[in-house]
Amino acid sequence: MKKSNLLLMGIVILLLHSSCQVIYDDPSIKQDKTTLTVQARLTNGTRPYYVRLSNALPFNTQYNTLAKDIAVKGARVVIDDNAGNSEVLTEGTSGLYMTSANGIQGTVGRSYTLTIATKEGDTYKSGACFLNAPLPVDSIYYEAAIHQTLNAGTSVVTNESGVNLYTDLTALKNRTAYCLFETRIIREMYTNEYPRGLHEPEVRVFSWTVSQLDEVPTLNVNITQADNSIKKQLLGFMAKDKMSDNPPAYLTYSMIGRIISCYAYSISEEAYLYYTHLRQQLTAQNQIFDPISTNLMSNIRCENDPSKKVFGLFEVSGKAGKHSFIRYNESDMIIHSMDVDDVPENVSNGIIRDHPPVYDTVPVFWQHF
Amino acid sequence: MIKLKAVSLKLILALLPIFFFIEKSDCQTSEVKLISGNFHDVPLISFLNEVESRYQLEVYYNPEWFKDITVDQDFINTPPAKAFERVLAGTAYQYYIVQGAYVFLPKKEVAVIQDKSNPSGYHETEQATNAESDFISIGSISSQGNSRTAEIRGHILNGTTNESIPGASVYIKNINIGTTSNTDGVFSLKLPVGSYRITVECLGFEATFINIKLMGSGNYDIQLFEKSVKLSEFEVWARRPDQNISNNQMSIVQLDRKTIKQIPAMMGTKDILKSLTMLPGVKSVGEFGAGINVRGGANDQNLILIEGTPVFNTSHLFGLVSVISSDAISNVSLYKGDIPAKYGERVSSIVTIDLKHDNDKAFHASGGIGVVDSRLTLEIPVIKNKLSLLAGGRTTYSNYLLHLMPDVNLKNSKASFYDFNTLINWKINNRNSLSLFYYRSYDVFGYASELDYNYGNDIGTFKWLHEFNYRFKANFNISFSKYNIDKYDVKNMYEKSKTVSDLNYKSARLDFTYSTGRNKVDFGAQTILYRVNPGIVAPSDTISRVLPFNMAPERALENAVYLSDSYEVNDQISVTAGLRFSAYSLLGSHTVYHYQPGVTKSVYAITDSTVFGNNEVVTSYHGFEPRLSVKYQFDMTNSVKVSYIRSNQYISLISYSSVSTPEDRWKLSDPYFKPQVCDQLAIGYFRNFRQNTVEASIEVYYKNIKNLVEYKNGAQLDLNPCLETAVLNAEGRNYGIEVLVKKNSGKLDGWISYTYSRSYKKTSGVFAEETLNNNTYYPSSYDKPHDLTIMSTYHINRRWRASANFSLSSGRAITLPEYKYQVGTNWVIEYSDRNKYRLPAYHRLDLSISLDETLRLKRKWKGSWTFSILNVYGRKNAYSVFYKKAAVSPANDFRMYSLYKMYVLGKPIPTLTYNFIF
Repeated sequence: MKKSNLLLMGIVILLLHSSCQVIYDDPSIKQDKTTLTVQARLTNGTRPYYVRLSNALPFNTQYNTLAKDIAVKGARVVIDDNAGNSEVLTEGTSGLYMTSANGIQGTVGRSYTLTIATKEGDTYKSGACFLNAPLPVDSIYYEAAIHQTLNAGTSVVTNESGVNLYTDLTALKNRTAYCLFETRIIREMYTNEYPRGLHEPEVRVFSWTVSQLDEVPTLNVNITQADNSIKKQLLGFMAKDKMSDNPPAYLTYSMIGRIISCYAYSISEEAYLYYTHLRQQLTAQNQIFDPISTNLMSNIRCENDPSKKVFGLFEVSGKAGKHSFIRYNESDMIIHSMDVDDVPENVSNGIIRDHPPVYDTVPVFWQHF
Repeated sequence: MIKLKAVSLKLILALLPIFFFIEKSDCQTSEVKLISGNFHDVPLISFLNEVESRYQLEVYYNPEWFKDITVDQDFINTPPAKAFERVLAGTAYQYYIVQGAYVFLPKKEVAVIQDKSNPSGYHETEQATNAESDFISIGSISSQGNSRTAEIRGHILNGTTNESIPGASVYIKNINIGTTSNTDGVFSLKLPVGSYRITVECLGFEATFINIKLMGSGNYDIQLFEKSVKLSEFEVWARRPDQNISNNQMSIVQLDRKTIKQIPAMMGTKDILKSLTMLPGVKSVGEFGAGINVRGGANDQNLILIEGTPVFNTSHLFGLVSVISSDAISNVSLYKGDIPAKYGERVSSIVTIDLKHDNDKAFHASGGIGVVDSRLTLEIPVIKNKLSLLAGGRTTYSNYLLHLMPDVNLKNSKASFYDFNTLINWKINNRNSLSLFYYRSYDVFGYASELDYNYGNDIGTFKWLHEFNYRFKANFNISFSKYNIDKYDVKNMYEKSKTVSDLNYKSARLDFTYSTGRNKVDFGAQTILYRVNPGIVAPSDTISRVLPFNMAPERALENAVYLSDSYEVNDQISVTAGLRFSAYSLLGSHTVYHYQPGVTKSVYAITDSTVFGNNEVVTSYHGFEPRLSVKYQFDMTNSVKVSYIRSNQYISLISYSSVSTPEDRWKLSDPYFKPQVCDQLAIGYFRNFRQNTVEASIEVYYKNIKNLVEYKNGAQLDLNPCLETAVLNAEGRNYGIEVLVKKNSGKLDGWISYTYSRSYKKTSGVFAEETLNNNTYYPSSYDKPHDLTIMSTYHINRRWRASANFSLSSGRAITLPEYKYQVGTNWVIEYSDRNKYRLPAYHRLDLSISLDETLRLKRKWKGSWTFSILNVYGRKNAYSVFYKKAAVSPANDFRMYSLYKMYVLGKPIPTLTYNFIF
């Protein structure tokens, strides 16, 4: 390389390396540690309903301080409806408050209000939230897809094969229907144990894990379709099951398949806006040109001090679901799927051993081809 | 030929610059003021003061010499020359009156050769350039006798470089009529037909004497040659040295060729627009980012005209470099307020960039080799004195260098640009000239194989200048400007797409100027056709799943007429009053959405829509834009000026961030986007010291702007067909005080400027989504209250000069995250009120030293080296602050969310540039 080129290159390298990003601490950023955050949902679905209260943290807080209890304890939490029903929620652990199993029930057409009185003497109240009719989910279906990921810091792209999940809602009554989708996946695994030897009857072991398809909420609003429908709503991508995905302790397990539950919540417009902004934040790329700020607007206000901030949402929505079973493992060339009638809502990770001689403890939701 | 004794040269040189290079208004003839009064036993200094104040003569002398001299004279309508002759009789001093307005009183031995027969005029030998018998005929013989008067016009040129010489004196001694050449070096004299001996003088040049026989109106260009004396002692002024005092115009910043030449080069490139930010009232968001902010205005509120045509993207490399090479530029004017009625379209400022038009005498080339780019400009006289071509271009090699980088992301990045400009001038005859200008710029920018941007400007102008007579002139101008940006999403093979958007601007305007002694009337009309294509999205790969999508284009017509009169009421007071009327119509095809009343505008609140057909008027706006400025001049050295202006703007820039980027999208006014309307009131006091070599000014302004564009919380702007659902109408309130002290000559020159200014916005929404900061005033993104700039050049000797520039300003207002809280398993953040916080203060020192290789006249190739260090002490000035979400680690101090500060120049940047001219 010529000397002149080296000189120019050296200067440009200096310039490029000169521009950079460093962590920035602005000491003037607010340090208030007692800002209430509310996460509450009431539907027409199965009780109980939960309200989680916590404190927001100053932005600059270190992670190790998160381990401290941010739960808001000792609050009085009340849900009222416009039919004269009211219930004081019971406090559980970590700031979780819940209704009783036979307490207030979400009913389509009624309005609900959440009231929170904290130990500090502040009273927070939501607006009256109307419970919309649920949006019936017609179907869940799948298409094979390849998902690409750009490896951070490199130009290497990783391809992953799997399926895109879609749903249709085709019998909506209102032209404007705000819809929040949540997709739950129950991954079924199975193996046999031979605690008494290989020649003795096996113990059948059913194991399952529960997860959400996407932590980012999926939203849609029926406004563009003239026939009052939401068609081919993408719920997300699901990679093919890999055998090595199984928990290490169960390497001999077989992948049975996955139960997909798609729940559609008919939310209010303000809740839709809230989730839209949540989605914007969670999917935002890090932009060097300070982008337009996005805040989530709460529907709860502090009654005794309107200037006091409160975060979170009291969501009241009609809930409907659809379930499907799919098998599409590493070795599968085609997608196997079928509709499933009903799957309980309150399923969590679990394992069941079905002992001989009578095999009668198969999980109630268990599916297979 | 003038010869001056060496011993007296220094004194003469010290005094003369301010006399000789004065640009009077075109074709204005000097008036002889007669002195009357009784002066008995009055100190000579008192007499001189009286003469200065009552007769608008500016007298230069050493008070020490005259402190013991008294006057005992009566004058009745006595010519100044006679009066000075009488008061100085018997003393060791003599006088010189220049252009009837400036008098200097040196000792008698100063002048070596004094023309005793002409004590009131210039000293000169009678060795005229032309012999007595060598008369030049002006006008045709056939025209002789047709008229009693005739006009001689021409161009005063530097005989060596063929550059125009502004401020040269052209006069005829025996009838005491003369004028000075204007900024383009053009002069015009109206005389009775006959024979004359014309004297042409300019400081630093040999005087020239021309015998003419004027038979009819005609043209004659005159060349002056530089004196073979110490050139460094001379100053060439492109304007009157007291122009800031005497000119009616206020709130203006001008960069002439001399100033442009002295602008420090950033990475080897002189950046005209960035240089403007060194002046009071003009700021930018940082080293990066396109555009400037004038008096608290947004970037889109500036109309930047190159040869009278707007350029919509003013920078290369996302704002690092201005769009046009300084080599081609003749002068730059920035109107921060008091904008003449002929200009409209924007509410904050007008920047006019004029290219060199005097290229028809000799071939010249200039250029430079810098770190980022290299450039070359050619001045080619195709037909001498008739047809000329100016062509220039720049290109960069940053792309090539990026590919040599070891970092994969940088290796896969792209950053390059070129621009090209050409100007053809054709002087058809004395009264008509045509010019044709074309400019193209093109940028390629991409980072790490994720997003690519290709963007550029194409602008062109056809101009016809016609002189009906020396008082009445017309300028017909048709122009176009196109800005287009292609965005390529190349990250994912299944989502590869290309988005094309552009803005087309076409304009025709006709301007007239009529001048009399005290009056200057400007009037004209303009029509503009806009076409904005907000975006066409198409898959850019056969396997891409992206669906094609077209945003409907927008078209609009803007028409304007204006009339303006500048009138000198008397020697103290002058008034400029103007009125511009603009009318705007948005044309179909267009769809207007209707929203449910009583709720915030959103796509969910659309109840209906109206579709307008092709060329159907969708909506119309119009408005009067009055302009008024008044100047009161106390004396030759201080004046006060007041101005009021209203202006309308029918096009706005929708910006995706507070920093303007090429991706920003232009939006025409429609039923929801009302035109911006700005009222600005300014008052200024202007004072010069030390014979106009030191200028000082203080200006105070207040602006109120309606219908500013502001963005809703979380606004979605990209390809949004219902953009009105994402933006808000805001009101702006800007005010400030600007102080400037500028030293124009001497070994050390430069300026100090300080600005205190505030720029606020306020929404007035009814619904929570349409409310920012509780509908109270909050700082705009370009609010930087304090701004101090020191720019200085020390001329070590004729060849070496050193410069130092220092900037200190408040950080701009920004919105920062204040809280984080849990939603489900996610943590989200809560931002502060809009622009509640502020970036850290900005300060930077740049140093440079320049060496001119040779100053010899005979040497055609003249090179110069400039070594500069930007950001001498390596200040990491924050350009922007943003947050990142990441897994906690010691690297981010165990924080899931971390704020990051981005800076552009974090270290001292040394650069070496070689510039040349031949």
